[in-house]
Amino acid sequence: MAEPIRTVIRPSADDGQTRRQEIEGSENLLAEYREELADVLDVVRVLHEKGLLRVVRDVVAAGEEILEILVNQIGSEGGKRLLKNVVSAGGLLAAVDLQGMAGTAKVVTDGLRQAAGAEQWNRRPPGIMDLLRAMRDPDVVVGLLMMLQGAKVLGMAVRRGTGDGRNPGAGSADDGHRGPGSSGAGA
Amino acid sequence: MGEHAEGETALTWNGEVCRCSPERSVLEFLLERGESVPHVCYHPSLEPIQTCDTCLVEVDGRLVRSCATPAADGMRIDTRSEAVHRARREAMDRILVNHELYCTVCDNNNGNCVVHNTVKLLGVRHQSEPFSPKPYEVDDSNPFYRYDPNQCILCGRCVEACQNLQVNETLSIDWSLDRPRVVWDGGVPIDQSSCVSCGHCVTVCPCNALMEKSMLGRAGLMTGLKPEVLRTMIEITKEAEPGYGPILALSDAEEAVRRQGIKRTKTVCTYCGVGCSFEVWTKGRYILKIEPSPEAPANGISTCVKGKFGWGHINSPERLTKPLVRRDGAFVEATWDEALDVIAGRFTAIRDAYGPDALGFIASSKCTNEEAYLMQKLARAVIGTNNVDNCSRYCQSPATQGLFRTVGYGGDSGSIADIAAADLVIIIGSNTAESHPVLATRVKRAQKLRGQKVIVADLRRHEMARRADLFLHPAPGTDFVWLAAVTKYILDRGWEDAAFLADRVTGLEEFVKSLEPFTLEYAASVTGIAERDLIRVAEMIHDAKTVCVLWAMGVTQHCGGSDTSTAISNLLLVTGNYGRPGTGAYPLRGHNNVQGASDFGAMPAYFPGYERVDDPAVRRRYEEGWGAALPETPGLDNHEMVDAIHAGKLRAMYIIGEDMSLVDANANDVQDAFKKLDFMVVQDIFLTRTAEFADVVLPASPSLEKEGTFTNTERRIQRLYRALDPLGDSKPDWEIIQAVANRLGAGWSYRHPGEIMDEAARLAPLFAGVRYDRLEGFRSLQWPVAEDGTDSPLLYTEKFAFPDGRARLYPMGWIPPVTFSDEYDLHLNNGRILEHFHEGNMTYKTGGIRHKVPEAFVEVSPELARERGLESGALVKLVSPYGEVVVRALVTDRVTGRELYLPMNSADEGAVNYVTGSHTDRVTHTPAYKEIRVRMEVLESSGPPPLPAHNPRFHRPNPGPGVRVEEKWRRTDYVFPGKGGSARG
Repeated sequence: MAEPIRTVIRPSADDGQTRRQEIEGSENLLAEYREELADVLDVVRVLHEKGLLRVVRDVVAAGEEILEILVNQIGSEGGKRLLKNVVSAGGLLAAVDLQGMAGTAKVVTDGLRQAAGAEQWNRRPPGIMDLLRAMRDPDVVVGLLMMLQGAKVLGMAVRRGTGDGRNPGAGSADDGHRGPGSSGAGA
Repeated sequence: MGEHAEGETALTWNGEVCRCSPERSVLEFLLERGESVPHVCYHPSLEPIQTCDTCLVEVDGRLVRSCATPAADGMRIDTRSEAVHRARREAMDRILVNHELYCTVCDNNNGNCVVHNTVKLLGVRHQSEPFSPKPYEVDDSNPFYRYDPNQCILCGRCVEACQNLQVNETLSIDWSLDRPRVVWDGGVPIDQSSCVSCGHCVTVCPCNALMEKSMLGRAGLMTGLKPEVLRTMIEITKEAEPGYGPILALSDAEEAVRRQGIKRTKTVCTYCGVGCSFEVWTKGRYILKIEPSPEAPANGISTCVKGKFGWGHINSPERLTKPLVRRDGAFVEATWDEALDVIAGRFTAIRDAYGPDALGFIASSKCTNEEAYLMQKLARAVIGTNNVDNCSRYCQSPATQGLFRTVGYGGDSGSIADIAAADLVIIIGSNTAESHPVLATRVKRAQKLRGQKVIVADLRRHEMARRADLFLHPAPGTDFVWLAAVTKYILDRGWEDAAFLADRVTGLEEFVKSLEPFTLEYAASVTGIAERDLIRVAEMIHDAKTVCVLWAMGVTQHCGGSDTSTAISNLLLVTGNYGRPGTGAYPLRGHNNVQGASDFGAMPAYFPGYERVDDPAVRRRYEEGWGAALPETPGLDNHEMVDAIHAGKLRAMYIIGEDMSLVDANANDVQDAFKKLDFMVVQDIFLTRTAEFADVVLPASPSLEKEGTFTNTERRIQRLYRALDPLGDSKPDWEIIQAVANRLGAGWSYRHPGEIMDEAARLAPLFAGVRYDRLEGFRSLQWPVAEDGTDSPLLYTEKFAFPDGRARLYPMGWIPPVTFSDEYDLHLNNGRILEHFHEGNMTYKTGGIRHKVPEAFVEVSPELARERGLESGALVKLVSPYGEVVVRALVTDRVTGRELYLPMNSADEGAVNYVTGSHTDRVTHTPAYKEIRVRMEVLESSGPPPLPAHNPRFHRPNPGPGVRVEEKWRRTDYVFPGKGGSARG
């Protein structure tokens, strides 16, 4: 007569037989992956020798805390600006064709050489009068005005960054770097 | 242009003349041609929705939505013009006004996000209008999924799926709001709505607006961060990024990395007999989600709450992980060696002392075909007995018997597609919307979209009854009578299919004679169904070109279950409703593999493929195949085994995956029998009530931890693959059975279930062409399967499965139901509910399901409640001649008068089989679970309601035609893309 039962007796943790079975299972696993484990242990040895193992351990242990600090740091105005600049710089660099740039530089040099009275620069360095003469060239004037406009924008940005901006609520010059009406995008 | 086949159209596509298959939309034509047409709201499993406008093309110079434009002869389609490109971009821009892209930290970034992929396809780099949040909170109330209005693009896929595929009719889009959104029941929290958590809406959502909660914070590499950190990251990247290009690249890279950690495994659902297949996504042992696929042959993208979300049993801490051996009144954990030694020693000793027929074996209809095959082989070839059975004895054997008698094969005569295609579906004794929810969706959809007619005969006014064109409420146990009367009426009117009867059927004369007593008048007096309704049934059958009859345990679990099943088949034969698409007999199998467990021989009288054990030629084939002498006479079935224990003839049992002490009728008697066994082995995933009686309990693996095949109600064999390793020391059942057999000296050496199937296919002609390579992925085979792999989705197209090829009308008389003394004044109906399965051993392990249905209850009619002075929540005791149960009452008009309904989903003191008796179907011994009367004692007249207010049964759906896109188009802020102006999507 087998009465229904629900009581289950589990061997205690220090039960010798269970322990032996676990060790046996682990040994089987080691044997099965012997070669792979040897490679893994080699990598671990190198990481240990370089002190990287400890670093990795600490970083992983601190995981979310570190990420939170980083995210908050990047989330500050300065952090976001840095990120924007990096992204913009990345975009600019991606857009620039360096092969073509070399050609452009040559064109600019050639252009200067062609400016009024520039032929003699091949024989001596240009003096102040030579430069003034060159500024009579309309192309040179346009180029200089562009450079000055760029310098103005840079200066405004620097002053706003140091809290010296005259119009803190105004949109920055780089507001326009996104498409019209763009919301940007999340990651 | 050359000639084209009938129905094909010839059209011009970007200047090239092409042919198009008939009845295709332009979008379908283009997709078939491999054209990358963006399409956000279009889904192959849904009707065209037309909300997104991204699939625009030019047809004859005019911009049109390709999803809703039928491909037509002479049409000129241009997909590459600047106007098309501009209009699509404009449409996508409007979509993105409603959706914030933060793909890298989105849990839906899994390579299949439609919005993400369409942004990439269209090369969108910037938005012309910014994302604009909607003024609504996230709805987090449902236990299984959440809705984020801010991410919702208002494509309406979810609404279309809910209204016209699942047809629960809960979701709609409120286009009248300033900012439209999806609403439940017109605008209540999800958990307070009629939502049945089937998951259709989540499955079809093209983005992360509707997400499985199990995915949130778990799917991505960085999605598990604290919400505030996540939000900051999203804001930073939004501010820093100049456009979508780098974002999409970064998120694609993240997706590539996360894909390494997410395993996607095709499996087959472990609950009912519909046989839904889908992928399960796992990360380690964690189950991320169930991902349905249009490729799934039985269900497509459809699921129910159990299949989509009910997987809590897999990682339940209550799982058995080590063998247990009974010692000194307790179970002690043991090694496999110890447990197998005990089993082999005791089985051998009992066989030596009492003979092989002193042992009985119960296979599981939750296990695979291969496991059923091995279980019967163990019983027959190793032990030497035919005492082997499975739980189809509790539900479906009478249906099989009815089909054996009349048409030859014991399985559905067609496919679910035939049910969907029928002109008329008759549902008898089946609460299909709750017991076979996905199959029910096909009926509901055909009725709603195509005007299919539905007749329901049942005691309860359940969902299908409410939806029926004609609802019959026969007196309990009288289905045979009205079926016979309708058949007689049809014959009397000359509405039978005379040609079919003459060419393909025998026995008409004797059958007609047997119907003589069943006049309409007599039937009305016995069944309580009005004569006009009986005539209406006959007329509806007569008017329909194709008829399918679906039935389940309301028919089979009676003393005349086999006869009523036979009567159904007779009616179909008389009206010629076999062998044509949209016709046939469909006993709806209850468990995932109740069909397969019988198919593969776990029956006392049959080898695999329904060949009798007392046929010498068949037996010789198996003896040669197995290399063992086999017993010659049929063995004991489940019911007879219990009797044999009481008689002292059966001394030992081996039960796999069946909580027999609760699911067999007259549970008190069954449990008394188990106490008398000399030795009992139970193999399960939990320490069930049955396992409590065992001497050895073996820890088995559930479906996700093993390979094999299941056969669904359509006779469809489908493969399941191992998604997870077995938990602890548990093992797949086939490995355990093999280990037991080998410990008894069998010397089996199966290395994979595929080898078991190969052996079964070699020996059983019914499965001759079944091979694992033919079942790869979502491929399936419906038996019989010829050697060359040809299968049989629709049976009897040429001949019936008898030697002469002709069906047989089977004459019978009516067996009235069991009678009880007047003391037992209430009829106790019983069966399933949507949320739980069987006794609930698996489904109660899922918290969300418990949230919706925490406990068993008994449904009481309002009139009876008034009479007895009780209300919902009252604690009642139901007493029958066989025992008693104590449950809380739920007052509902689903039941009427003195009829009660007690769901079978309790393993405690509410378990229905503590009150059911030992009467059985006279042919198959299936218990007459439905023939029971009780008296009710009110223990407390009020109390906490057993069903919480957030159960969908208390809420009213919001039926509609679908998305109502016309309402969107009428909005003042909508402009057709390409017409200029800004608009919201």
